[in-house]
Amino acid sequence: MKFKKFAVCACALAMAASMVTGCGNKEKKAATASKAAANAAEKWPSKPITFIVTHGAGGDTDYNARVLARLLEKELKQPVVVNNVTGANGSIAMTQYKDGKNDGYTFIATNTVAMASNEATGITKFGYTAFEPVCIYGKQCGENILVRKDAPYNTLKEFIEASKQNPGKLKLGIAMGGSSYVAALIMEQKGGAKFAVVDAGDGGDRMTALIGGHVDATIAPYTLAKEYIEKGQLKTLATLISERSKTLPNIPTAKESGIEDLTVDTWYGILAPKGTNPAIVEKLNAAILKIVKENPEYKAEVEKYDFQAPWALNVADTKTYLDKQRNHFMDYSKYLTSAKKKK
Amino acid sequence: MSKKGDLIAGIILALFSVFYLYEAMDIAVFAGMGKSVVDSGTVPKVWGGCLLVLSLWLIIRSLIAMKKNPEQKKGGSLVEAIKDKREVWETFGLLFFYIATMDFLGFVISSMIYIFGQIIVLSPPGKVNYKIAGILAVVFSFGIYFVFVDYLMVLLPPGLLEDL
Amino acid sequence: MDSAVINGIMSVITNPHVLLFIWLGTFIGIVFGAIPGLTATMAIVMFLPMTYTMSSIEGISTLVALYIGGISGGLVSAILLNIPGTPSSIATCFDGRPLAVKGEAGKALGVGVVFSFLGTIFGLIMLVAISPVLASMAIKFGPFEYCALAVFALSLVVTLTGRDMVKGFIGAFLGVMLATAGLAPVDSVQRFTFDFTEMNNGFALLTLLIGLFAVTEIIAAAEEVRSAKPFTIEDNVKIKGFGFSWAEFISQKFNALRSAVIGLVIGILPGIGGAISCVLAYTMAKNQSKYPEKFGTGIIDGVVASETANNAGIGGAMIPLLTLGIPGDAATAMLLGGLMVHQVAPGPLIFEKSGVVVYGVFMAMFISAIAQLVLQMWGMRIFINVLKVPKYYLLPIIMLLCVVGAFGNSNRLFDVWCVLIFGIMGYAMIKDKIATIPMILGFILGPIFETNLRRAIQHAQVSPTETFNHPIAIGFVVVTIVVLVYSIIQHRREVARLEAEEAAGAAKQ
Repeated sequence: MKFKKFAVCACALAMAASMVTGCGNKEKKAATASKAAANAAEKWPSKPITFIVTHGAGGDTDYNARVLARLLEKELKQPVVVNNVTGANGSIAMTQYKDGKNDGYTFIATNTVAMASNEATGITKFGYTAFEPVCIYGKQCGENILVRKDAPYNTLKEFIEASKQNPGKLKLGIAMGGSSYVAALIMEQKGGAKFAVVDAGDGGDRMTALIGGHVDATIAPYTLAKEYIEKGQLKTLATLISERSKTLPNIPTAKESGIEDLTVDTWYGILAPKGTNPAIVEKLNAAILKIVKENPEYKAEVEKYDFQAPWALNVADTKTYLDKQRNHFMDYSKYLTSAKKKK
Repeated sequence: MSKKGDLIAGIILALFSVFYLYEAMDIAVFAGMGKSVVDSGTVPKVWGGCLLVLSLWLIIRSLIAMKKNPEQKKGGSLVEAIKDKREVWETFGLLFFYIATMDFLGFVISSMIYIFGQIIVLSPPGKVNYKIAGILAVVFSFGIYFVFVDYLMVLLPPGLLEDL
Repeated sequence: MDSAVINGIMSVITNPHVLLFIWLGTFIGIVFGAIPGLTATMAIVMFLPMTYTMSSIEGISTLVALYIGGISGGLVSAILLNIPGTPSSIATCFDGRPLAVKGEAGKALGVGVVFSFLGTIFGLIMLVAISPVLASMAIKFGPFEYCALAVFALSLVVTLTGRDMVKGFIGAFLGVMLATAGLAPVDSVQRFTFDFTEMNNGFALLTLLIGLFAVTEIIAAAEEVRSAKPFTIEDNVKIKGFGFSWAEFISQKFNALRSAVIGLVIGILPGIGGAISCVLAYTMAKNQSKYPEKFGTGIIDGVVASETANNAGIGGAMIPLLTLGIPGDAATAMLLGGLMVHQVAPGPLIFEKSGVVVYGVFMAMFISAIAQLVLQMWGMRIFINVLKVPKYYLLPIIMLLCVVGAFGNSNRLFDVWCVLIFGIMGYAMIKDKIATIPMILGFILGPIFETNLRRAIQHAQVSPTETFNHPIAIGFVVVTIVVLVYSIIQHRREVARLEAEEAAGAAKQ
C-alpha cells in the first residue's frame, strides 16, 4: 500500500515538473527549431536514403529511378536504397507515403502522368500539392500514335480526317483512364475525330491488338513500337510530347498537326513527403541536377535504354510544370471520372 | 453430411450475396467514351445474383433433407464445442495478434512472440519443450529478417528495433 | 545466322561467370519456389535490379535460371506440405499430398522433378524451333477468343467440384466475386473498395493461396493437437534412384505429352498463367484417364500432368516475350524489363539484331534445366527429411515465411491481413465441405472473362456483323457446351453410383 501511495506522488510530481519546464521552454523551442532545421540540412545526408518507386520493377519509371539512385549514391556518399510499392497506377504508394516520415531520408519516385491522371480520374483525392516536389529529372521519349504499314494514312491529320468520314468505324485501342485515353479524348474534343474507342489493355497488349488486326490504331510508347517500325510492320503518325525529341527528331509532334492541346508528356519525378525540410529538398534537387546535366554515365544509360535526352528542372520549375500538367488533365476530368449512381 | 451445417452456410451465403448486390448497386457508371450497356456494375450483379440463387438452393435442399431425416440433437453446449477446438481459436488469436503488432513491435519481436506461442499451442501435451521453441523463435526471426531486409530489399517493419 | 548460333552457345559454355550464375540462379529459384509464400516471380523481381549492372548474357541467364528453378521448386512444398510453393503447382497438391501420406513421397518427388525437366525441354524445343509460327497464332487471340477460353476453363469447375456440384459452383462464384473487388477492368471504376485506398488494388492471388492452403494446414494441425494422430507427416524417407520405376515412366508418356502441349499453349497466351495451366492439365488427365476415380487418392498421373504443364509453360511464355515483346505471365513481364535494360529488344527483329544473346539464352535455359534436374534430384533426399520434422516446429516457421512472402508481394501490411482473412474463410469452407479449388479458378478466370467480355462488346458495338467472324472463339464455346453437358451427365452417374454403393453397404450392416 505504501508503495502505491509513493508511486502516485512521484508521478504527480513528475507531471507538474514537466509542465512547468515545458511552458518556459516554448519560446526557446521555436528558436532552436529553425536552427535545427538548418543544421539538419547541413549534415544531410548522414544515413541511407530510401526511394519508394510507385511502379513495378522492370518498367520505365523503375528503371529511371534506379539509374538515378545508383549515381546519387556516388554523389551523396550515402547508400540510396530503392524499393517498389506497387498497385493501382502508383496511387497505393503515393497515398501511403505522402504523409509519411518527412525527415528527408524517404522520397517517392514516380511518373507525373500517373499522378495527374490518378487525380483527374478520382482514384486519389490529391495531386502533386500533397507532396513537396523535389525534381522532375527526365522525360519519356514519347507516346506515339501508331498504325499498321498498310494503312492509307501517313499523317495524323489524314487519320483524323478518315475518322470523320467514317464516324465510329475506325477502332482506336487505348487503356481507359490512362494517358492514351486522355489523348484520344483530346482528339475527339478538340480535333473533331470520330474514332470508336475500345479498351485494349496496357502498352504491350495494345501493341498485340494492333499487330493482330484487332484494332486499327493505338497509342503506345516509342520504345515498345521501335522494333516493329524498323521492321516495317508499323508506322508512327505522330508523337504526343510537346516538342520533337532530340533523339528522335524525325517524328512529328501531334501538336504540329494543328491540335494545340494534344500533348501528353510523361515525366519522371522525385517527390518528398509533406513537411520535408525545404533546405534538404533544394540540396537533393541540386545533386540530381548535377548528375543529369553533367554525368556522362547517366546520359549514356538513359539514351541507350529509352531514347531519352537528359533533362531536369530546379525546384521552382518543377512545381510550375507539375501545375501545368495537372491543370491540363483536370480540364478533362469530367470525362475521366465516373458518375456515382444514386441508390 | 451435416444438414444443419448446410443450412447455416446457405443462410450466411445468401446474406453475403444480398450485401454484395447492394454494394454493387453503388458502382459508378463511367461517363466517358467507349461506354456501353455492360458497365462495371453489370457483371458483379450477375455474379451476385447467381450466388443468391445457389445459396437459396442450398437452404431449400437442406430444409428438405432435414424434414426427411430429423437429426438427433447432439448433446453438449456451444461452450463445450468451443473448448474442444481451443487450439484453433488460439491459433487464430496468435495470428491476429502477430499481424496487429507487426508494425508497432516490428517484424523481429512480433515474429519471436508468434513462433514461440504457436509452437507451444501446436505441441501435443507431453511434448512441450520451451527451450527449443525459444531457440527456434529467436534464430528464425532474426535470421529471416536480416536475409530479407538486407539482401532482398523487402521492407519488413523494423518497429521498436528501428535504430539498430 | 549460323555464326550467331555458335557464338551464342559459346558465350555461355565458355564463360565460367555465366555458368556459375546459371547454377546459382537455378538453385535460388528452386529455394524460392519451394518455400510457400515466396514465388518464382518474386525471385525475379528481387534479383532483377542486381542484374542491371551485369553483362547482357550474365544478367538474362540469371533471370531465366531463376524462372526455371522457381517454377520447378513449387512441387517440393506441394508434395511435402500440401502447400503449393508457387501458384503453378496448385494441382500438384491434389495427388502429391496423398502420395506423401501413403509413404510414397519419394516417388512423387522423383516423378515431379523428372517430368518438370522434360516439360522444360519440351517448351525449349518449341521455343527454339517454331516460335515465330506459334507467335503468329497467339496474335490471333483477341477479346472474343480470350472470353471463350475463360468460359471453357471455368466450365471445368464442374469436373473438380467433387460430389456436391452446388457447393462447387458456390465456391467458383465466391472466387469471381472476390476478384471483382478493386478497380474494375476497362474503366478503372472503384468496386467494393468502401473508400479504403488499400482496397484499390484488389486482393492478391498469392494471399488467397497462402490463406487457403497454408493457414488451413496450420489450423488442421491445431485441430489435431490432442488427437492421437502422428505429428510428423511421414517417417518413410528413403529414396532409391529416381524414386520410380522405368515401367511407371513409360506409362506416363501420353499424359506427359498432352500436359506439355496444354502447358505450352497456356504459356503462349499472355495473361493466363501457370495456375490455370496446371489445373487444366490435371483435369484433362483425369477426364481422359481410364481410372478417373483414382485421381486425388495418390497416383503419379496427377503430379506428372501438373508439373509437365507448368514447366512447358516456361518455354511457352518465352515465345511471345522474345518474338513479340509481350510477356506471357508476371514472371516474363519482369524478364522483359531485364531484356530491355540490356538492349535486347524483343520483337520481330530480335534474331537479326540480338541473335548472339538470344541463342545464348536458349543455351542458358538448357543448362538451367539440367541444373534443376541435378539439384532437385540431389536435394530431394534432403528435402524429404522435412517430413520427419514435427509439425509443431515446422508449421510455425513455414507460416513466418508465408507472412514474409505475403508482405514482400507489395510491401504492405494489408496483404498480410488478407492472408488471415482468407485463412479464416478457407477454414469455414473446409468445415462446410465447400471445395476451395473452384474458388481459386474463379478468382483467376473471373477478371479474364469480364475484361474480355466487355472489350468484345465494345468491338461488337463498332461492327456488329464481325462478331461472328471469330472461328476460334466459336469453337471454344461449342467445345465448352459439349464438355459441360457430358461432364454433368458423368457426374450425375458417378454420384448415383456412389450413393447406391453406400446404400447397399449400409443395408448390409
